[in-house]
Amino acid sequence: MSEKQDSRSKPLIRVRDLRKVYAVGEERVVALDKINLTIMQGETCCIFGTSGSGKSTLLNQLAGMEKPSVGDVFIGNSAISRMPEADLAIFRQRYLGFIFQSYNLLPQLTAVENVALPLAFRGIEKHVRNRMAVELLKRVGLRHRLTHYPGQMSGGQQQRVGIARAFINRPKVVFADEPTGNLDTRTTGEVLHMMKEFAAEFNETLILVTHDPGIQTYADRVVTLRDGVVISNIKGGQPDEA
Amino acid sequence: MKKLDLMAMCRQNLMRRKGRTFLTVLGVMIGACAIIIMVSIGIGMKESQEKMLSEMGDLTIINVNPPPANMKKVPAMDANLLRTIRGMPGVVFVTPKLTAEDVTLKVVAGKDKRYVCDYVTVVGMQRNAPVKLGYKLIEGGQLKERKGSVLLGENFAYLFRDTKRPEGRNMVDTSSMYMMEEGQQAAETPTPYFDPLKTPLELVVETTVNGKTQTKSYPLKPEGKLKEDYAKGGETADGMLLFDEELSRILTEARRGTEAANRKSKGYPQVIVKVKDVSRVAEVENQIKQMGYVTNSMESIRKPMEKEAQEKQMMLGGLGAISLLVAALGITNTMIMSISERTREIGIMKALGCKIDDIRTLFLLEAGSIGLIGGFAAIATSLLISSILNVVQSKKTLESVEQLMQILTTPGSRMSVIPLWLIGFSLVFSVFIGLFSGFHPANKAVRIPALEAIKSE
Repeated sequence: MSEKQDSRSKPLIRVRDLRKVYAVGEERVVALDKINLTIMQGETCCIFGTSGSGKSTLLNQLAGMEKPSVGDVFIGNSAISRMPEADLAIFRQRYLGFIFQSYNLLPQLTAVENVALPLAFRGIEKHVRNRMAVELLKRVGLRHRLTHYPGQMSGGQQQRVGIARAFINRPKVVFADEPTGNLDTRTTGEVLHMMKEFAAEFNETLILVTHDPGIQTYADRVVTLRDGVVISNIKGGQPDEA
Repeated sequence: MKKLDLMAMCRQNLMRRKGRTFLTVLGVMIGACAIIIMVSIGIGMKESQEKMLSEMGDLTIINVNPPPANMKKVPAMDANLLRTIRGMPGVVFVTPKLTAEDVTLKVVAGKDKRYVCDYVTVVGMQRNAPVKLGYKLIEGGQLKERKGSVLLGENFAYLFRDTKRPEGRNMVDTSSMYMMEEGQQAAETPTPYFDPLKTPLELVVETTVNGKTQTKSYPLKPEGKLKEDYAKGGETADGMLLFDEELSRILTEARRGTEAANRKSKGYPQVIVKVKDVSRVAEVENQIKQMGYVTNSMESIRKPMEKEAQEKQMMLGGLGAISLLVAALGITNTMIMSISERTREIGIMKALGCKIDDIRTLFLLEAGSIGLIGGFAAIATSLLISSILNVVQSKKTLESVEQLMQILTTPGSRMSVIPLWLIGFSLVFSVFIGLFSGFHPANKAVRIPALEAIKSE
């Protein structure tokens, strides 16, 4: 299903000569270097690497959480790496979704309220956004957990709320940082299937950051990092020169 | 974000840490309460001072007298002076006050002049003076434009002796009016021999020219009876008040041929000036003083008292302000705590696309709400404390709601007074303190990066 879309899709995320240097005390640590990457619209891309390989740092640059030291990140035509904080908020509202390893649901909000939160930030009426949230929660199988608080749900359930929240504003890109890191194998499968399904439905790009080699099988493209450098970029089993 | 959503979120956040929110609100409440109570005691103090002063005399009246004879030359007090004073800004009314001085005036009443008053205080003022100067009437009406029109003092009737009774028992015994046990109502007033308002009266002037005594009478038409008020003058008690020009004519006729008539006119013995309000008294009084006349008013007593009250009020208010300052620090502390606890949450909100302004607004809203709730609580508590203070101050035992209301609404006897403006002010001030204290934490919250959401715990 996704292959068919891939063939017609345009590049969505472009990374050009990206370099990120952290100052740790007196020393300067190069976290990322010479990163060049193109990710297509509708693609599921897995950024793979061991701990300390720089994969999380790369995600931060892609999502505009941090500014690169050198180089640029484009999402569509927007240079997210150069965007001021105020514009970034609007950009995130419209085009980006996030799924976190530790779910990051707000504990004082119910499942519905958590899912509806990105829409609340956009100023959408409560009854409209709650209806959309309920719809999506039903689709992730939480029909009976609508008014539960995060503390009353299992990890798998919380992450499904997190997925619903990431997709509710129909983003162009959903970033998932170790989304299954805290889940058991069976739940991991369910959660990944769900993410793939939602992404495919609206031709959304999914960026998965993981250290779990098993997850690579869900991806159209696997970018492997080691010591801040891309060591392989494989699309559909073939190396991709981007 | 929609305002309603922000408010709902603010409420949720405050409810999450009920204990902490409660304590912070309590801090604001105590601070604001301290200010309200301190200021209200100051106001109560001022109120009772004013009541005391107004019992001593009208605060807006200036008495003007000519300077002592041996002092520098100043024009006599005449119609010109009245005009000058009337033209001063703030002056609402001016009247001369004539007295009989050297002429003996008697009053006779009843059939065959049975009742005789041998000495009476007679005062002449402008016809509308009793109204303008706030003389109170017990009975009858004001001075009219007719000959002999006169207002009588409250105890005028007791001045008469009955010529048909034996010496020593020919006057009404009024001692019962002055013999009161403490806290006891005045005893019944004795019945006079006649009602002067309904009995024909005549003013009798006796003068002695070259050893011969002349008498002249003028019929009087009593219009009303004044309420006794020594702050205004003896005429309200055992005297009478008539139109100044009429009195002046009577006196001139009486003096004809006597030594007094040969002396040059001295002008009015006294002029009374009424000023619009207390704040203008000093200014007007000063102007008249500069012209060389002797003045006196309640200003010389009121000024230092007011200053003292102000100083006390400042001191009390300062104490309250210190406690509110401490409360403000409490709010700041609470908000900073709250932010460090919610760092991750703020990061998540930012990652999900919450605008910076919304985050700032949210935190200011939380801080402002603490101020607002604290302010409301402070007002309720202060009203209660104020009532208790007033009841304790009144030294009365409460028997009914009416009595309570009476204690709480009688000006001058209250220890603490909370006017509406103080309520409004403290509410606005509490909210302001909240916002002010929340300003720094809110800016701190705004600077938290979205990256905090991704950092592992």
